[in-house]
Amino acid sequence: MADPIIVQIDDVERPATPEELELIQTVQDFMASQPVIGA
Amino acid sequence: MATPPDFVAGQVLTAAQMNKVGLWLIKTQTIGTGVTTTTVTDAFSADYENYRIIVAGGASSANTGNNNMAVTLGATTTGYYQGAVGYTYANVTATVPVNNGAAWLCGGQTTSGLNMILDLFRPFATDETFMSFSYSVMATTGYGITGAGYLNNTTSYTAFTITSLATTTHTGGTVYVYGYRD
Repeated sequence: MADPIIVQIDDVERPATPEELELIQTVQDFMASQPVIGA
Repeated sequence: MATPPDFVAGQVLTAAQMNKVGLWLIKTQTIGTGVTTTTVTDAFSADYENYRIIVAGGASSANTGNNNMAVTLGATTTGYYQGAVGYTYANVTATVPVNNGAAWLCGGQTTSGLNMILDLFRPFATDETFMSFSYSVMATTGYGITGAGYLNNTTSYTAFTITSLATTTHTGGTVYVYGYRD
């Protein structure tokens, strides 16, 4: 089982909620879609 | 009397002098261990129109992709725009454009450290938010880059989130939020 995605809200660290996971996935998918510099 | 900022011991500072302090530290946030996102709440308010955010120290769990990290405001994941240009350390042009993207890509992350200088203009106002930034990818194959952009909506924000690249996490480092005196 994969390690949970940990989010930090100010000083509190905890596993991401399903809603937060959706936002993270959207942002990370966008980042991954960028051409790699120098490749 | 000494002229600020050359203060002398025991000097009484007047309101007029203190009101000339141009950059005020609003809050600092230490990044935890193995976190994918770091959200700083209550960063923006009516107290300041414009802000400087600095990230320094810490590290990414791995080097991958463009070794950069994302910034989003509130829960918004659309409407981000930026133009950015720089060079790799081998003098090859590097660009990081964002055209109606899910985030700004405005910080650097490697196993050597996290870094970002980000100026945000009017994030709390019900107006578009303008931004300007620079970062360095701290790896011998990395690059340095600077750019500017905006968020195309008129939402008022109080919080922002830093997100690591997929399969990576952040550990350590500090987020500093400053307000520019209006």
